[in-house]
Formats: sequence, C-alpha cells, structure tokens
Amino acid sequence: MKTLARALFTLATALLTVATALLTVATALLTVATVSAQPQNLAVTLIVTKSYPSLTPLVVLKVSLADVLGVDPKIWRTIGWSPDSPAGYSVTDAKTGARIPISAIEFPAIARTHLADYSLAYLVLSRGLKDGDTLTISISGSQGVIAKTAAPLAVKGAQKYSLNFNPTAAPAETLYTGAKRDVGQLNLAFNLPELVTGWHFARTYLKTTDLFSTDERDSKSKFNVTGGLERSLTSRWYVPAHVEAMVQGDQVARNASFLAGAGLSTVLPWKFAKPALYNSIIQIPLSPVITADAQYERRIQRDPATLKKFPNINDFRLAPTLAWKPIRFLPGPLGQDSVDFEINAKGWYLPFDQIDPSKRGRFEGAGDISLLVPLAKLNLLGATQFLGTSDPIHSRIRIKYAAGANDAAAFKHGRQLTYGIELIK
Amino acid sequence: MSVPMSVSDEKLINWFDNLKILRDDAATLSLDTADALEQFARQKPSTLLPDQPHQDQYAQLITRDTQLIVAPNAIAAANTSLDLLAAIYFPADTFVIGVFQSVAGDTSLPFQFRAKLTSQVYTTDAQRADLVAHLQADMHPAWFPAVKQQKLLAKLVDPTATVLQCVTLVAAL
Repeated sequence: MKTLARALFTLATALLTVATALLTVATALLTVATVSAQPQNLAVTLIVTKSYPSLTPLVVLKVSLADVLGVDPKIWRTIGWSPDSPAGYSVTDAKTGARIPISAIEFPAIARTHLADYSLAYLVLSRGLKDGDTLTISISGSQGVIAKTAAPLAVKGAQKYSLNFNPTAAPAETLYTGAKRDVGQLNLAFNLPELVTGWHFARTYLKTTDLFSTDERDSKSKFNVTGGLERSLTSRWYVPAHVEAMVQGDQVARNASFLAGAGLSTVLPWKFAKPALYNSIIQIPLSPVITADAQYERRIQRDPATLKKFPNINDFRLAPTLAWKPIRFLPGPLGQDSVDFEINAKGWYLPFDQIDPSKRGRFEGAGDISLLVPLAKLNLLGATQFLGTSDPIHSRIRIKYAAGANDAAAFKHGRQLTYGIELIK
Repeated sequence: MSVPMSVSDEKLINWFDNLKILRDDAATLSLDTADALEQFARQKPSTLLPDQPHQDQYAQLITRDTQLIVAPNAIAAANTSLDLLAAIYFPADTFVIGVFQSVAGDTSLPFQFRAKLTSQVYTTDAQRADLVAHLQADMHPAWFPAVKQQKLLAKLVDPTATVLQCVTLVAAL
C-alpha cells in the first residue's frame, strides 16, 4: 500500500513537472507570437508645402513603405499588402480615435519607366488639419496591422487661417495734430492663405493688418485689407506671379487709398552660361534673381497734409529689380571665394509723377555694388580667427558703393560708400 | 557579365537615377554643381543654391522630374545632396537591402532580414558572387569600387556579421 502511494506521488510529481514545462513552453510561444504580431514602427512625415504650378497649399502625409515592407511585391503578397488600395491605410485622430478619410493616395514615379514607385506613399486627407491635431497612421495587410506610427504625429503649420489680437497701452503717443496723449491700441492681424478652397488653378488669399486706437487722431492707426491670387506662370519653370487689390488708410479714413498690384519673380536657366561666365577670370554661378512689381494707387481721401505731399489723385509705379550674386573675380589665380562682388539694381517708372512740367512721367533708378573679401584670406597676423569661422561666406569684409534714388525719402538722390565686417552665424 | 534584373535591382538603379536627377536639376541652376555624381552627393544644396528663389525653383524642378514632394525647408536643412535625397525619398540602404534580400530569395520583412547572419544567408561562393555582381550592375562605381567588393566578400563569410552591417558597408559613399 505504502509502495503504491509512493508510486502515485512520484507519478503526480512527474506529471506536475511536465505540466510546468509545458506551461513554460506555451508562455514562451505566446511571447514569440506577441512579438511577431507587434506592428513595426511606421515612419510618417507631415509635409505642408505648395502645389506647383498653382501654389495652393498642399498638406500630405509621406508614408515610408519600403523601410517596413521592402520593395519586392513577392514579400507584399505573403502579408496580403496592396500599396494602391485605400483599405491598407488608416489615419485616425489620436485624441478621439475618429477615422480621418483619405481622399487620394499618390506615389512618386520611377525615373526610367514613369510607373508608380510604391516605395513611399503620399496620403491626401479629405478634411483639413489644424495645429494641435495629433494623428495615428497605420498600414494593414490581410493578417492585420503591419506597421503603425510609434507615437502620435503632431500637426504643425497646417493652420487654415491665423488670427492675432494684441492690445497694448501706448503712453505719450503722437496724434496727427502733433499733440501727445496716452492711448490704448489694438493690433489685429488676420491671414487666410487659401480663400477659395478646391480651386486648383491658383491660390487665392485674404489678409488684413490693422491698428485701432482709443483716439481716432492717433497717427499710428491704420487698416489694410489685401486680397489676391498667385500661381506660377508655367508648370515647367517657377515664375510665381500675383495680382492683388488692397484698401488701406487710417482708422476713420481721413486718408484712404485703393491699390491694385501685380508682380512676378523668377530666376533663369543658367547652364547655357557656363562657357562664358564660369572660367578662371570670372565665375557667376547663379542667374540674377529678377522681380517686377507694378502698383496703381487711387487716393480716395486725403487730409490737407497728405494732399500737399501727394497732389495727384492717381499714382502708378512700375518697379523692376535685379539681384546678382556671387560674382567671383579671378577665381583661378586667387581661388574661389577670394574676391566676390554682388550687384543690386532697382528702377522705378512713375507716369503720374511730374518733376518737370514739360515731361510726363518720371524714371528713377538706384543700385549698389559690393566687394566682399573673406576674413580668412586676410589672416596675416592670425588674429582674424577670433572674428569668425573659416567659412568664407560667414566672415568677410564688405565694401559697398550705392548710388541713385531712395524711394523711402521721396526719391531723393544720393551716393554712399560704406565698409564693414560681416559675421553671419 | 550581365545579371538577370529583379524589382529590387530596378529600385536600386532608380535611387541612383533620382540622385542624377537632383544633380541635373541643380546643374540647370548653379554652375558650381559638380559633374561627378559622388562629388555632387557631398555638396551642400544650400551652398549651391543659397537664396530662396533658387531653392524654390530647385524644389519645383525636382517635383516636376520625380514627382517627389519637397518640404519647404528640406533644401536649406540638408548638409549634403545625399541628405536631401534621404529626406525627400530614402537613403541608399533601403534599396541595397532589397537587392541583398532578392539575391538570397528571402521573403521575410526587412526588419527580420536585417538581423540575420550573412554567413547563414549566403552559404555558397556562388551566392556571394551573385550578390556582388548584382550590386556592381546596379550601383554607381564610386559607391561600390573593387576594394569595397573585396571587403564585402570578406564580411559575408564573417560568422558574426549581420545583413545590416553588410548593407551599411555597401550603401555608404
């Protein structure tokens, strides 16, 4: 009897040991299964940029697929992944868990075949985002979630509009009468970068910058409302152009004007210039930046002081500019970035502005030329190392000669030679 | 020697094509752009194109030619053209590992494949030679010169070397 009991006890102990071992194995297998099922980290970047050529705001989520899924469709088939199927992507609001519909999935192109490159996907969402939103993005195959963002993606810079109120106290503010008094001022700025959403030809915008005062005679009071549209003139080359209308004046419209403006800017394809402008005597590696702005002003209301200063009810100015830098002198013998020049030029055509009664219209111009010598090239005493870095464009001597009209001072003419040390961090 | 081309080979070739597009677009705007791809890869985009109008123009050309979307600060922030391509697309590693995997006939996910030991994945001389032949055919010679090919062959048989280590060796300029 005792022997039987001992045998049973031994058997029970053995069974318990086996059960414990099986439990350990099962736990281990479960752990492995859980780790395998753990979704990988999905790299997603929020890109807030502009579309070309319309220049309309573009907000997309860039999902890096190749890092987690590889590039071979054979791998995708094993996990039931299809890159162009919307069902494979999920974007949810991380705070509420609400799913955000995807309106389009786009892919870059393979250079040689122009077919879709499924290495990465751009997700366009069907609802607008605002700063402070957080998103969770995941991709799924037939066996469930394959990868998801490790942490919620914070939305930044995708604001549909901006509104800024800034009330301030302004002691001893100057009034237009010349007197001074304490006033309260409210700065208001509102910017709507896309006024008409869904129109993909051009970006339309509306903005206002105002200062309202507790005293209507406050010389700083102003309102300015601008509406306009812009787009690049061609899809092949970046030529951003805008047309806009503006109403501006002071708080009670003692002075008020309507302005209409248009402008464009561009750079030039520059490769063709290499034989002539890139040699051992002169190197001009970049094309000039060219801008042209035209502005018509209709003075609706003028107080006596303004009437004296601006007798014409209409005003128009055409102002082209050109900025050209760097222009390297003798880069062969002296070395690149030894002696650089920069040129800026600006012109004005003012058809309603008469300085000579016998002539209609007025032409003005201004320009400057700078000579730039890197400090590193003049390190004769070894002292210039304390003034900047060895990077030639970050510490240099600038000698600048400017001549022509100054539009901020009623086109008064002048000449000026300046020199100094530029330290750019 | 010609090697049969897989999707992974095409993707690695496409990465180099994209780098060439970045170079050609930069050369359209800046005469400082190096002709040699490996030199261009080390050039800083904001030194080639220091002002905003040129950077905007560069972004439009890249988008026009590759349909890659360039974030507004990507050009200014990149230290090299390689960094720029990595920011708007991928680093070369992503596609080099694809070729490693394709030659091995492996269908696991990249994170699993990266951790494998190369000595257990490429067990024969023929497999290792095949891998080198594919990489040589797909990559620009400056990225995969003869010296690096020999280093790779030595590393592939190192019993402690992982796929990730070999991929990093190959992808680095």
